[in-house]
Amino acid sequence: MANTGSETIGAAGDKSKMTLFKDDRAEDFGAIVVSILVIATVMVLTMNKPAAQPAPAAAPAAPAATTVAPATAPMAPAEPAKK
Amino acid sequence: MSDTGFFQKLPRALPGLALIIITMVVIRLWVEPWMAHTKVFGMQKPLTDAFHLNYILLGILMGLLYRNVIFGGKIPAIFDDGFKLSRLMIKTGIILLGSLYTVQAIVQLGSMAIFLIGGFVIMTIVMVLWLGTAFGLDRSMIAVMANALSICGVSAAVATSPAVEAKASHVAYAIATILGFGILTMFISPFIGHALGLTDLQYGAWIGTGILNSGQVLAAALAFNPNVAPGTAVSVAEIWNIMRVISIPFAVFAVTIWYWSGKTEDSGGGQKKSLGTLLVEKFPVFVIGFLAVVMLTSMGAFGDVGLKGGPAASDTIKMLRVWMQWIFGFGLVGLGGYISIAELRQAGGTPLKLGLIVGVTKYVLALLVVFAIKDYLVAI
Repeated sequence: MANTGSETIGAAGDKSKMTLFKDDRAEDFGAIVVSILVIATVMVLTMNKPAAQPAPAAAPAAPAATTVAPATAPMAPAEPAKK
Repeated sequence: MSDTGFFQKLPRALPGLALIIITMVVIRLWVEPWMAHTKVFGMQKPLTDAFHLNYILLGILMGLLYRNVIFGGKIPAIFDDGFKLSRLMIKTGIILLGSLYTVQAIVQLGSMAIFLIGGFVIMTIVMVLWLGTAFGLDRSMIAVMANALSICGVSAAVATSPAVEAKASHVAYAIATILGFGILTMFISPFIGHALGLTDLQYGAWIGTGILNSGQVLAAALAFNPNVAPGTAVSVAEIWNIMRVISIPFAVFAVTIWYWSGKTEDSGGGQKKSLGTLLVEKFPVFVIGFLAVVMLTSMGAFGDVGLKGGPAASDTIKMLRVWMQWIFGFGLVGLGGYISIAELRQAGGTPLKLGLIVGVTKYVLALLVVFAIKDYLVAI
């Protein structure tokens, strides 16, 4: 069995692969390319929209996207599980 | 880069891709809203409240139904190539998940994950090597099972096989065992998490450590909380999972040394590779894509992330999260289509016994450890 990293459990060969790519490595690169396309599309779609308004509870001096909770107790998640 | 074969095959993937997309669209636009308002036997929305069914679990169940019931055990040739894109979608979603984190958050969460994941990987490998030897299993089989049970299932089993002269049957047994156990944990974990009142952080850390397969970690996290945002179960579990995936080359290295150090006779059957080659070949490159997105997010390329206490998320980030949910939904319908009940029956005997003992130990121990260190877990 020529292991490419993407076989199903059954028989060897192209039919048993779980990917359309040559192997896992090629699939990884493929995922990176698709991600770039998704990000580019989303950025173009949101390019001309006005900037988001600050949240009501936002701390005035909070640095953008770098705030981390103290290590003493777990914080409530930003979007908790729906009970 | 993707080979030309991929582009030649792409048109053939369209029917399967269409089936996956239509399935998820129907689930998210009609089935989920219906479940949220339905009333059964006097209970208000029992499917979402009592069974915690959401688009992720429904998607996997539909994939499972397609293969094992509707198509009689095998995805038809016309849909097969489309289902083969499911892992591409899951990897793409994981790369995009990088937009939930900043470098600082990754360092804080990742440093804790490294200790927990590292400890569990080493413990699992040692346990499998010891138990496998005690059970008298073939040395190649033990080596494949060691990495399959300690890291991320299918990828680790396949990555280990050429280095330890494993035969196809060894890989098949290992994969069938971990997938069977993983499917069980994928469905029961959200119930246990809700029953124990775990937070997203605790739940993510638990399943990121205790569940064997990457796709199943993702599914179990989204099944617990389908939201994709900083601090949700999926954002925590994936950091744990990525730390584990990164450890594949090192675990292959360690198990290969164990295999050859105790080897007394040639058994043939497998191809040998140098350890350096293995380290280079088996590094999961999509992790670099994930880290690149984390860097871009930290530099503010997509605007504010929307962390608790900070500015609201930018439109770009919000739209990326919506797209991620759809991409994961498509990928997990495909993942369900790759769960073959017939193939899982290949698992059995001593390898299954070994897999279950180690798998259950890891799953339960991970929950206990997360409970023990819950005050030290850092939220992002």
